[in-house]
Amino acid sequence: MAGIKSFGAHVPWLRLSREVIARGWGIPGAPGTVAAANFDEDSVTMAVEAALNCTEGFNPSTIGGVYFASTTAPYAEKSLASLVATVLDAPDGALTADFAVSLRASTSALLAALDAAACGKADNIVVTAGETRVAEPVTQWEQTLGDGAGALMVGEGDGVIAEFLGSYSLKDEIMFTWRRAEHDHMLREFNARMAQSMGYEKVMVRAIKGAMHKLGLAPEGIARAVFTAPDFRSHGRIAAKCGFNPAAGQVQDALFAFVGGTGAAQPLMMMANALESGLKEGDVVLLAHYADGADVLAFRVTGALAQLPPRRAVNACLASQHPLDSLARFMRNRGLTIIPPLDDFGSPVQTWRDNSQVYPLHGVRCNQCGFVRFPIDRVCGRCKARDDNTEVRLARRGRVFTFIHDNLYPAVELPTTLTVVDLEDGARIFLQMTDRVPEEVEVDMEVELTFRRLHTGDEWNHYFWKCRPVRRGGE
Amino acid sequence: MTCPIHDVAIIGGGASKVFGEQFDKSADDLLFEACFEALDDAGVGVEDIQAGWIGIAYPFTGLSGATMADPIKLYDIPITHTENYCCSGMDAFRNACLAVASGMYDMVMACGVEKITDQGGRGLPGLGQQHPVIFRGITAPSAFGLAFERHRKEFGLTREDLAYVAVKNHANGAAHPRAHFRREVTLEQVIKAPSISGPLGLLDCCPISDGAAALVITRRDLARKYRDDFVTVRALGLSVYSNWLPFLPDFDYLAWRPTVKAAEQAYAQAGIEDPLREIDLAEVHDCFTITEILNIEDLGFCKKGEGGKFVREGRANVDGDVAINPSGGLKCFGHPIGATGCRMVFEVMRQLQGRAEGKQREGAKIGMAHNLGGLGGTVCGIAILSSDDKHK
Repeated sequence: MAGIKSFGAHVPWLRLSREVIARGWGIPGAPGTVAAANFDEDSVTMAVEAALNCTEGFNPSTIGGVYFASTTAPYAEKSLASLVATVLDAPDGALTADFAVSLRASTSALLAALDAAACGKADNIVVTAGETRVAEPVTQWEQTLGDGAGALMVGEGDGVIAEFLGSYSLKDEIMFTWRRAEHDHMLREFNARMAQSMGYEKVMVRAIKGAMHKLGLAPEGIARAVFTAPDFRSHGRIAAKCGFNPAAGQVQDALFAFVGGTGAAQPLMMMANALESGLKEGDVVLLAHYADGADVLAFRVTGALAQLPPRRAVNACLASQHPLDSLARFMRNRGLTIIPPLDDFGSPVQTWRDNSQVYPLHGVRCNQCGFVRFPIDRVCGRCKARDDNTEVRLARRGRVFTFIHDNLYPAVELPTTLTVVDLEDGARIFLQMTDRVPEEVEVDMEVELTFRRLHTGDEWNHYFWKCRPVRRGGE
Repeated sequence: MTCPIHDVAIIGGGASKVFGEQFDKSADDLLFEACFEALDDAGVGVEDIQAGWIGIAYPFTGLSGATMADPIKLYDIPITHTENYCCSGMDAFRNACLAVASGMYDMVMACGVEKITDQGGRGLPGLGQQHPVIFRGITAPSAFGLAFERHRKEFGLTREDLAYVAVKNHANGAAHPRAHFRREVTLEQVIKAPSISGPLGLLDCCPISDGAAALVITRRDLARKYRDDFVTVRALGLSVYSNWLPFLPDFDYLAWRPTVKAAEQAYAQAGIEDPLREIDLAEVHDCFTITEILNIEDLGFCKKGEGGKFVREGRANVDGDVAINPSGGLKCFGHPIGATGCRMVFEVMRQLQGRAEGKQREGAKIGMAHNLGGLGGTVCGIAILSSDDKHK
């Protein structure tokens, strides 16, 4: 019995109020916010965060696959699934695959993972999607799109929290939204009304009904209908046509109010949000996602859901946020200004050699005296034992030993908060701090580690860990 | 304690005419000025020098001993380029002294130079080993400034304490004809200056300076042939710790460990038991104001945690208990990295001879030059010099 075994999500800490966008351009604004990736986040760092939340408590050596999906992957040529798998500390033999181009990349990945799990090819496949789509300024899309990531772990056996019942898919060749490879950085569209009514509404309803028919399900037998939409209004028009009752809690919130449309990440984020929001054993959940066609997947919740320790997913992230009060900073973070990205020292050779330190953040523990340290070296700094170490994953939480807000390092945003952190395992590490209010940083502050893009030296993305104040809320 | 180093004397010193932004001069020009002034001061010629050492921190300033050889045509003898962060010049001096003490040479020259303003960018160019992501973001002021929050927590160090160091050093440097800055600053100016890194404002940071300095060194028993007011070497401490300070859980940010260890070596060599009473003046590494405060404590001039108070109460003034940075220090005089160690020794030599160019510490007999280098205290070099007749 294949199905979902765990879930996670990431919503950036920064939220841009639609009012701030509207004020910036002198146009009417909608209520609510869109989630806005910080300058050091991209689709893959967010996908890593969602995947780490998803795999919390699972031994990384049991991860059988990592599928990454995005239409805004930071590379046109280079696997990001391999990067995510490395950060997760998954075994080298784990399946890795990148799903791209279509906003349905995430549901394609999910279906592929379910197939692999069902046929016994792999267990514990992490499907993660992150998205940072860019809208043209002064369009409705600008107030619609948001950044975020979701993750679902797929597998077989006792740990399945939502059993896969089957799926139904339709294709729909239409020019709805698009970005041409090598030409378009921002979303393009032709006629929104045509696309919404003839594309999304028509095909989504047909697909959902088709799935229910195929799987022998009736609308009233669906505990939660999790269907995505390109925008807020379109989402509202689907429920009645499919026979779902939003007032009875049958329709999963599409997260437009505070997060925005997160493209390929949206179905995974909404599904994660559904799984953390009151589902019980036996509930049937329909997951439907549209983009030039539709994928509909049905699941039945098992008793294992109640046994899964709480995940950090959408609810926790929504409870932890900070207003981004400047359209200029938002545009800079999106690369929409002429401010160049930080171009620091880079070396693919060093990064490759130090893969296990840079990505899964390994240090060493001295086998003689137990001293845990980073970066990895050969002679113990305490007992001087020579070459007698065990490589270990460093703790992901700690306390600020000391810090300084530096204005000299040529950062995208000043000041750069530099910290010396004592991790819970005794290792000490120098890290930049992100997602913080400078005035609130203090010695002994509790911090957690987060995977970010440090700089783009030598024309490639240098990812590493930063610390941030522990994100609280939603527990 | 007898120590081979006690048989070494300095008979001449020189420096570039000024320190600071010298866009119109090359490293060769600066070395030309410093080396010939030192030779003329000693009354010897290029042909008398048997070996040379040159301190340079940045490869772009110059590589190899030839950087010293070319500007003064000091060819066909051993010349060594030393690099040890901000102690590069001090280590050139140290190695030159050791060579004389060994009996291998009778007369050598140590010098140091840095030509930083030919490079663009803000602050110092990158120093030290580079990794694409590990330790990225550190800057020189932040590396030292990370000590502030710990000191504040443990000892109550304040922003004002830092500012008093700048006020004192500018008051001294304003009187020095070669200093980078020839002006005094007020407490309010220091505190209100824009932040460079945390509590360290623009006026808490040493400037980016070009400059050079040189010293002519010989055997103590030969020195009087050249001048009566030569100075003798009493101690040469050098202590190297780690490049990875913010990764070491045993490093508490309350003391610069290399300063503590180099001072232990130097005081043992010189037989100094009470530095505050026995040392008249000290050129102390003050790349940032907080650096000087910790160094004053680590050198034993006051108790740990009382460095700020020591400066605030005027005890580090030129006429105080011990004159700390009578030249104006790195803060006001300037800090051409590779030159600084030799520049400090040059200043101490002139002070001990009673011919300081800026403010003179009256009756100075024992002086110290102290260098601290690296990202927050990796290496420290200390020289103790004497003009006391009993050491001649």
